[in-house]
Amino acid sequence: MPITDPLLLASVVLLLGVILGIALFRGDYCMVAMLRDFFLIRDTTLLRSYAIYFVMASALFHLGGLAGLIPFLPPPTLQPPSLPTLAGGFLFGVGMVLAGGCVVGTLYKMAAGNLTNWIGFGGILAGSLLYAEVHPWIRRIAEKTTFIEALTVGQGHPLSQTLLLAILLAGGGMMIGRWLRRGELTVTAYARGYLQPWRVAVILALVNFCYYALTGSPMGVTTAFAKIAAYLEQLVLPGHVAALSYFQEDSVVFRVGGSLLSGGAGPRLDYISVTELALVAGIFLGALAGALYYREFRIYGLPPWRQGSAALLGGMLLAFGARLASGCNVKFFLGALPLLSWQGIFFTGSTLVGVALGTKILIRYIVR
Amino acid sequence: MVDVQKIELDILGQVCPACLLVVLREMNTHRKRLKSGEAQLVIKTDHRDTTRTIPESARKMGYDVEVRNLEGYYEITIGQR
Repeated sequence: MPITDPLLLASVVLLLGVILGIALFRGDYCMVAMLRDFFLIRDTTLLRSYAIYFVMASALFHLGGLAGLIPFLPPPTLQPPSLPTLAGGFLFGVGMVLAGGCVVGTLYKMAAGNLTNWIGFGGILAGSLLYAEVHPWIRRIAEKTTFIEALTVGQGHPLSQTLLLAILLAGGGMMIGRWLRRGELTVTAYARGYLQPWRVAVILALVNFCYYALTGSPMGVTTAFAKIAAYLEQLVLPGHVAALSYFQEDSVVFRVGGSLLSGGAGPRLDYISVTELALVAGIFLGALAGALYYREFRIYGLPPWRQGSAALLGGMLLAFGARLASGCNVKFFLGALPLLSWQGIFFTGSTLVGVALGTKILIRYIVR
Repeated sequence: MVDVQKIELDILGQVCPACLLVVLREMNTHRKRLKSGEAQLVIKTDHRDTTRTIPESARKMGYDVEVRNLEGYYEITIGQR
């Protein structure tokens, strides 16, 4: 059952974030590398760990739903797919390759002192603010271009959905079993306290399951970034922030028992503050603890100017893309895909196209 | 023992995957001297994941790789023994 007491919820989510931050840092679990390195050097090491994540998360979410532990299937944060889902996924893909980190990757690398990722974070804040200016217009396009009304594959057809899930999970399970027998899941890395990618995937699935059960939706982080940006803009242009509909509206509204829970990107204390923002803070703190513990926290000065500019531009693109699509890789790869959400499937498809293009730009213009 | 020339490569603080790309490029540039054992490539990196990707790529290309954990960063040596 979701927790409705804000302080308790924020504390539990913060703790989940800390666990995640430590795991992500130790495994240097970069979801950009996961996709990019396939295009770059045909490396599928991290993609395999995603398969483990997918099978585990999908089984946990759906069985949790049957057992009554997961309150909403599908969760209130999912929408039907539309043109902005596709455009957003594409920009997000290009952006995260240029920024050298997705939204959580940027967080755990910032915590280790990497200035390039701090620049990327600046870009993310700027991109979020840019989106706030065009929000009403984008949402109108989304309404007009919704191309599938259902939220998930097989919604309303429980039998076909169960069958599809059974096939996917059995197929995935067999694939993982084969990797296990051949010893292909364990990789060699020399980093201090290195956590194997498959272990990070298992931790991710467990943490996301707990987060889903306790907050009502799988993890999300980008609205929290937009919220941080809104707080900052409010310091300079309070009147303008108050006039923007994106900062007034709630992006998620749902009911648990007698209480109505709601939250959005606006600079105020709400449901997003005690869930997404607490998660972001936890991941940062966890990764910082990891970096300090393994004595790897170090600031090396600014990157070469090409990389710095790419990080800024990439951060802006990825944040703008995430806002267009109403979510990022955390919401869509980790939450929506295992739930067989159409929005997640289309976002992922266009993100892959974006990553392929981003990788080309990177090789040609950024790293020379 | 003949003196082995060390080609130093400092990629501390650089964005991912600059590390891997720069290293691959350097391995190509100095291929002959690395293969003959005349030179070694010594890389300083703070990217944890490159302690996986660089040794893996270099070994696939037939080099010997050694990784040392130094204070706060990693030193990867690529060459022929």
